[in-house]
Amino acid sequence: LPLAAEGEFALSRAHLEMALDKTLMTRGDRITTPAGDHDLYAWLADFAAEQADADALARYVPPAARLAAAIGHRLYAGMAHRAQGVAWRLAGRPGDAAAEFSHALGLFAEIDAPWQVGRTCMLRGALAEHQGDFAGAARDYERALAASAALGARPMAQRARAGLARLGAE
Amino acid sequence: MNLQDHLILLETAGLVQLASVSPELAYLFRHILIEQAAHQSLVKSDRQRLHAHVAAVLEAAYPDRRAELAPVLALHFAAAEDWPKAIVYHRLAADHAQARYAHPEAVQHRQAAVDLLPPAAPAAERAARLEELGGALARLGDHLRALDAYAAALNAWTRQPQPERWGTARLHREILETLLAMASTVPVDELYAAIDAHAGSLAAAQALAAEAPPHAETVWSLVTLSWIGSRGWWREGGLVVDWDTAERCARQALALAEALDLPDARSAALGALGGVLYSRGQLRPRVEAALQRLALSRDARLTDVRERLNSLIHAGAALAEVGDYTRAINHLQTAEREAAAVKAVMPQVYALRLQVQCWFSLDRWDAMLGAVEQIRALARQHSQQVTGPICFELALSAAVHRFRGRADLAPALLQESYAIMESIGGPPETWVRQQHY
Repeated sequence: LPLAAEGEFALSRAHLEMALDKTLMTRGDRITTPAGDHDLYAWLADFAAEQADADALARYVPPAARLAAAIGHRLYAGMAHRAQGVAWRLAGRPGDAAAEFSHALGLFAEIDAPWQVGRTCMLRGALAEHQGDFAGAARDYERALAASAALGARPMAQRARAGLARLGAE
Repeated sequence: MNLQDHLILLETAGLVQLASVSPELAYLFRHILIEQAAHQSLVKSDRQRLHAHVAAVLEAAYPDRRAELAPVLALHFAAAEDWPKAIVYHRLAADHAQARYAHPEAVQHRQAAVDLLPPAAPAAERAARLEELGGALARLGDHLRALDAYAAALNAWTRQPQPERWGTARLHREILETLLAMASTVPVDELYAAIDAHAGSLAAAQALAAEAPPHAETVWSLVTLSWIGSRGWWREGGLVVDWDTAERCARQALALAEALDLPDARSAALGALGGVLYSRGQLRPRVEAALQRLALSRDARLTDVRERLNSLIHAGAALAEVGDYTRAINHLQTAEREAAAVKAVMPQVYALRLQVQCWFSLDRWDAMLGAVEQIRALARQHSQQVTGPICFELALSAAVHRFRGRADLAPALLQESYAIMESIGGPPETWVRQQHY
């Protein structure tokens, strides 16, 4: 991701961490409600994944996954699976990472969320490319390109094209 | 000379001009100063007599158009110093404006009805007119003035030798409802000061809830107490939430509304129950309560449009919270259409805000930006008290432009969003949790 975007993910995460601190500080007095916890942890896990921050992933993914599952929230469950995939990739477990990315993709496809599908394909494609599965990587980059073209998401389309170019597939 | 001859003479002299011949003959003064000069040249008694005559003719000639003509009738009766009839027509004009969601106009007529009351008017009548003014101001979103009107109404009502208890209970409850409605529209210091100033209303509602007589007003007071418990209330220097009380009050209200067969109150009780379930993070049970409420909104006896809108929005919000965005949008679009049809701006904006979040979550960026534009258009037409701050929607728009690589659009929107946030919540260190979102 471009540095500017990384900075924005960091800023977004910083704000959500402030929100989480305020939540936990006041939870004893019940001033804050747990209703928004699933939002908070899902996005914190997502930003931690974007930043490839293993410590933050370890902190935020388990509650994000648990809270999403408790209410059957498919978007957030998908985000938690994708973030767990990043955590496995960082831990050197590509097989587990690919399985999490595929699980996330299934959930995003169910709710028809093209941006999430594209982002996950980019991650799974990069993993496949790194593992030498160039055909699988090309399929994922193609799918990400299709999703980003439909949305007009130029930065992601550029990254997908760059992936395909590296593979000599475009 | 007959009337026609007089009019032709005035027209020839350049003082009036023919405005229309159909459906009725109408003339206009050529200039406002001519009208004023003519009006002021009359001695007061003649002027009063003429105004009374015009009002009487209009009343008699158009008995089926009194609501429409009420503003004019009110002015003529007021100029004729027939105060009781002027008040009757100001109230009718306010009802008519309220039915069209013309809230500023309704407030003007309610205020006039209060101002025209003679000093010796019975306390009950003064209280009733002030209560109506409070309701109109609350619907307009002018909560501070609404509180003043309700407090003055309560003061007048309780000056009676034996004030009827349900009237007292209703006024206390309306004060509490106004304080709840203020929570997102005024700075917290003002809110807390207002809560302190009206502590007696909370105590009165709690006393009624403890006694729990089987009456509609008990149900409404329980509903209000439930919201107070689940949202939190400023008490003795601290913000206190009490979910146990909130849930108990909501369930007690629901049972009583069912026993008394009050669909409006039952719907409101389900709304309050949904509120406390939300606070407790019980989001699936909240969906069930919201869908029950929505089903109830189809009861033909439920005539309150606001309750119907609330039930649609409640269902949309509850479904969105569990990620069922497609079903949520369906209800929210219905709510938005129905709110727009009756010009109910607050629920219309709220339904649009929730749509924005759903579209964003489903990656339907064009639909999302379209909904944000609709909100911005409404925000340009109405005050922030009515539409609420739009910082969250601007920030989501900025994110979408960033995802699309539109570096020319995203920073300005983000900056605008921050500026709104800081104008409301001060620097980020002082923001409450939701403001960081």
